[in-house]
Amino acid sequence: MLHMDRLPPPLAKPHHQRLARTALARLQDLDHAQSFELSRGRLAIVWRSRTAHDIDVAMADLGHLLSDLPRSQAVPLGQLVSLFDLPAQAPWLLDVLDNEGLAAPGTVHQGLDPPLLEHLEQLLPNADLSPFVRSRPVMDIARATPVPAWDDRSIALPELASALCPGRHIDESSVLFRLLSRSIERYVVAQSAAPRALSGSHAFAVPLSVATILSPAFLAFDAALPAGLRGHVLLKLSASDILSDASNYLFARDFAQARGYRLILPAASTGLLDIAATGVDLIEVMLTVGLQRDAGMLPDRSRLILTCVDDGAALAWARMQGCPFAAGMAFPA
Amino acid sequence: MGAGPQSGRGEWSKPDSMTPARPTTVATPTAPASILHSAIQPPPRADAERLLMDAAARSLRLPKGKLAIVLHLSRMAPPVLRPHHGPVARALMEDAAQRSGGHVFPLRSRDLVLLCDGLAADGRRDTSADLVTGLSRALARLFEADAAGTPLVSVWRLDEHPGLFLNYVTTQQPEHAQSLSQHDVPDAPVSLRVLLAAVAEIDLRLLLAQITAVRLRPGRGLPVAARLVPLYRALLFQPPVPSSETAYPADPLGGHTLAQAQDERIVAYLLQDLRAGGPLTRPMIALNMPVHVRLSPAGVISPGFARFARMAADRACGVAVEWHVADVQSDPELSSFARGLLSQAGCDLVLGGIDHAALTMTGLQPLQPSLVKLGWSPKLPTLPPGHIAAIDRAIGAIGQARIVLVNADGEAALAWGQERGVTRFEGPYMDAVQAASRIAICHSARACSLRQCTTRAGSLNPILRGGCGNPGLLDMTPFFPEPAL
Repeated sequence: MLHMDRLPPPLAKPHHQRLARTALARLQDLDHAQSFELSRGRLAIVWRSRTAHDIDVAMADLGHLLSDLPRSQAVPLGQLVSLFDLPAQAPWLLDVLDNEGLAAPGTVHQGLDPPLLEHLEQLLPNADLSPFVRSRPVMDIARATPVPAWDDRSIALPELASALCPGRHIDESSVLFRLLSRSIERYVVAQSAAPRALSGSHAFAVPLSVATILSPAFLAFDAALPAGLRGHVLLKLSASDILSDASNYLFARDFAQARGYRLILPAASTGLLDIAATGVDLIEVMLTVGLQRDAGMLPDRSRLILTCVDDGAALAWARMQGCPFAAGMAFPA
Repeated sequence: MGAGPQSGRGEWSKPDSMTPARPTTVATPTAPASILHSAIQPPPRADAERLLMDAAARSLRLPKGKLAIVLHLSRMAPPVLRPHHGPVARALMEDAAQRSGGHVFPLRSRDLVLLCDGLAADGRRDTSADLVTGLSRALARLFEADAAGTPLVSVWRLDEHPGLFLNYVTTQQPEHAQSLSQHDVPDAPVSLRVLLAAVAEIDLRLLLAQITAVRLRPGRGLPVAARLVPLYRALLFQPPVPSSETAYPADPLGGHTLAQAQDERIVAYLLQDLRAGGPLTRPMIALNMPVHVRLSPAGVISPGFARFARMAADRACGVAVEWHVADVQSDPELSSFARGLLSQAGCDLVLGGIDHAALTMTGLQPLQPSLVKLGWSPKLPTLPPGHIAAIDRAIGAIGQARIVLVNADGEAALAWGQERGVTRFEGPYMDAVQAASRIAICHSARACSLRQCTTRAGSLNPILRGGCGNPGLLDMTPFFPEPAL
């Protein structure tokens, strides 16, 4: 029995489940094989075999899938698969089926659906989001001594969702997640437009969608922005959002830049997008071992924000490459 | 503020000073719900034009140094004119007004007028002129792509051009205006949950349409109808529009969600149609033409699609799957996996959701699409030369033979496409040409209109199609052999 519901969230996406099923597919071709689709995505396969060879191969394939997990998230194979030697262990199998029964509501892998999305949006006006605000300094490393350039702010959405709806897994690649993000963005932007909300604030960067930049809430925020912050607020975009409506993106880009905002695009999210063609001001790149080996992969260095700069060696490397901005554990908050 | 990128979270493994002890779910309200709705700019007053006339009259008594800048949004129309155009432009003009001691007059024609007295808040005259110049440049740049060559910005110094300004103000008065548009306050958003639930109850055949794309073969002097070669038939999901009062397109993300939610139903429909020899796949098998279906990458991974792909291969039904580029971008890992499944299943990949802006900002070759669907827009022929050059480069890089110009709604679309070597088209104009050809040769077409034939051919609803007396011809694109040389 393959317990798909016990796959850890990073390995619970549709294609991972497909791979897990494929790993057991060879068993379905065996003598007298029958497969049963159970509740919660579980798959049971019954077959007749004199040797353990086929099951060993299937387990090896499944183990290969789990090897993608970091050590801290490792799941024992025995937790994912239950093996019953029939008929001797039939009572145990029946016991499992009787006990687990129908799908339990609110399992950890039940995700975001439209009713939950609407419920979360209704909770927003009365929710205090300050505990979920995350901030890290982005440093100007072009100077002899790095100085803070701006605060990179975001909302820890998985934690927020977990607090508001425990037991739900939020797939950050889903369209509904993007809708939720957009609702939260507009709420936070509207809050920031309140009188004195930004008084005393330093330069900061925030993730915003194209639709939010063009929304009345952002226009109010822009109108209320203190003069001292004009030119010191950065907007972080995402490639999939840009591609959802590229024409609107161009309009939003030109408007935002006309109003003194700088635009950031994380390079990790670009994929199909040609960074140079987007006209953004800065590009955020994660420092990895591979990047350090082959610095030629770096896009336009004069516009780079290098993240994961976690020690002095990484900082030295970043400066050597001519990167003007960096963030990471080398610069404690 | 907003959702942070997944890629940045790894560096926050150490607790920082902002890490909360325990998050609260509901706390003291920090902002009333009304704050979400109070940010909307007030609509134009009913006497906006009269107020402008009064202000103009006062300014023209002492016109020296006074400036007027007009943004003629009335010269744009939906769908090129979008809901955010007016509010964003007005925000820019209001800001300039504050800094130049001026006033913005939003008119019911959608035009925006900034009247300033030429004096900056600090009393310096030149600063105001610079502000207005900067504003007019910013507005021109903002609307460059959408203006279609139409001048949208007028700047008048009242001491130099009093007549021009007064003439404009006069033509805006109710007794002179041709028509006055309602201020476009967006409708209250329809609950996505309600919309999804409603769509789930509707017979899917009522929400699906089919459209035949064609290749236009060479043939100088021949009518378009004689040059059509059918290319593929696409299955389209057409969500119901929540509001019929506005001409603006629905929220792209909402429409996207609706479409993705239908993946499973669409695959089930395809299986059923293939098994039963239904109106979608049966003619395509007979004509040896592929079926195009739009699904999300996750839809391709479903067991249902795998069954459909196997059955289609067994019955020699060609299948291509269309992905929206934004879907691919939102989950590259899943998309890569699904791309492999498509290849294994012998299905082609088509990329859609691409307008001219997206075309010039993307590199699509790594996905190896067999076709790229570029969305036609009436503003394409009037884009600035730099934009057109970028589009031509992108088309050349992909290959003209792999570009399909979709939503082609007239001869202008055909002309634009052919100018740059594109010969593949999909859209209402091609539907109409095909319908006209069918009517010309149909023995049962005496009482049929062009619209009826087009609608029936595009429908999968048996009731709608039942009005046709010659269903065998309804699924055909009359094809004329190439004339012998």
